[in-house]
Amino acid sequence: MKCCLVGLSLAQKAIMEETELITRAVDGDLDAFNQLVLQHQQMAYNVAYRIMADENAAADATQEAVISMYRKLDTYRGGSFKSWFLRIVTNACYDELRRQRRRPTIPIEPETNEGELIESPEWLEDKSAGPEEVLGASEIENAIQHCLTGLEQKFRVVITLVDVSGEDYETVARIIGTPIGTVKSRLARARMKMQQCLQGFRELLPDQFRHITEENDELAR
Amino acid sequence: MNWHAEISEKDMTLLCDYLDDALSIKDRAKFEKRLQQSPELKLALEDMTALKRSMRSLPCKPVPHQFTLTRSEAEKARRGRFLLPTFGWASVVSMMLLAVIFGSEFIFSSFSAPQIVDEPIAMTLQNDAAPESALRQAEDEAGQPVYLLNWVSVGGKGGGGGVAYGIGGGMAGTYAEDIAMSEPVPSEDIAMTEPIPSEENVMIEPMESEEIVESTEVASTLAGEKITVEPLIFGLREDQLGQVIDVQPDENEVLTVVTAQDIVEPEKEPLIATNIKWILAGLAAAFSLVWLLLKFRR
Repeated sequence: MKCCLVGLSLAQKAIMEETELITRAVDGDLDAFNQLVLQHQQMAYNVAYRIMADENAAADATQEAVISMYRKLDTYRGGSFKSWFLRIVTNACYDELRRQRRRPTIPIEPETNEGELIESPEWLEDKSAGPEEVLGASEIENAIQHCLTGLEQKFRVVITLVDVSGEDYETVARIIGTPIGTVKSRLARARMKMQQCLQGFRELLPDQFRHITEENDELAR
Repeated sequence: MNWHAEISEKDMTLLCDYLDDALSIKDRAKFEKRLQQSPELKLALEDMTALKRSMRSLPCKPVPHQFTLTRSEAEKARRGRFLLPTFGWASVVSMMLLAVIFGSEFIFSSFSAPQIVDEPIAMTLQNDAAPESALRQAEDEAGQPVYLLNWVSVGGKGGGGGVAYGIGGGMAGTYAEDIAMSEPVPSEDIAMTEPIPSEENVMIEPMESEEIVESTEVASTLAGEKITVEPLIFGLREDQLGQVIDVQPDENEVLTVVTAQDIVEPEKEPLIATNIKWILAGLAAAFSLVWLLLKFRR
């Protein structure tokens, strides 16, 4: 009981501190703003990484989100700061993905140094890793990330926010600006697609994937 | 066992709700009952639970660098804080104004009622404005003399013409006195001027009242020949009946022919001056361009 009370008061203290930091940041205190950034950057970067599936792109999107947040600070109208920031992060990810689609950054080298045409240039190769390759790295993370990247953007965002970031439906609905029903249906379809995709790996790693041990469960928590 | 084909999307949503603890107590109990009965659903739940756990167990990536802002970065971000929305809204507002202007002009020009002209078109036939050349041209085209109708002074404006015996009728209530010719024409050439026997006049037939004055109205032809007609309409005052309407075409008057093409409608002035429209269009384009530049520079 005493432990719970201490935990509650710590959470309250954290909220109060955050509220104070927000107030100071809105008033133009850059240090307060940076403290807020430091508190949430890990979460923001990870969400961006799972959506973008690329470290550099995720870093760009997170930086853009921080700048955008600084510009929009005066539009913050209370509520969960984390979900407000996540909304900005997902929007930055959408922008970054759009930019990538407009200007793909695949190096084109169809000729050798001698000017000879390469018959099967490197850029024509399908570099996406197959199931064996992914499992060769023996990392379930790679398999999940591989399947996650294969999802449509709207499904990827929802499953990332719910399953990776651990947000509830209501918060996700606020973040992506859709009704809860849409979040639910997108999540159901995303999970189904993910499960179908992971089945290719599951044949090789049945127990590891399907029956997660209690240790893994603890780790997840 | 592949459960994907067995489970509907609705059940899958319910399953996710159950997994994420988003069901009410009642729905949860109901779903648990179904779970016990359906092995596919149970298997799906097992797989989904495993998936969720795996997703949650993904390692947290360390940040490559701090995302905090320096003073200069903050200053730069602050500077561009109002520019983008300002130009965005400015372009939207100017475009909306343009749309409203063009829309209202289109509506007014398309759906407004025709303008009522104070002077009826017939009046333009009167004295002035039409050149004789128009008459000659009309004669040439028709290959025969053109009969001109002069509405002057008799019968008033308006009214229907035809065999209008009524008050204020367009042809002045007589057969021919107002039918003027461009050239003198013998009266027998004008069908309308031929004396019409009173018994042939259909309008007289139904007369029953004995009070109706008989054969008192006199009209005249162009040649000055007076004809007698019967009073035609009940209700005419007696003193009005029988008046000799002796109207000769004024030789000095210039008879005119006005065709539909000759009637030029006055040019409508636009609601908003064209200059203002151009300025608005220019502003909208400039604001949009600046907004796009700012957007892409970011």
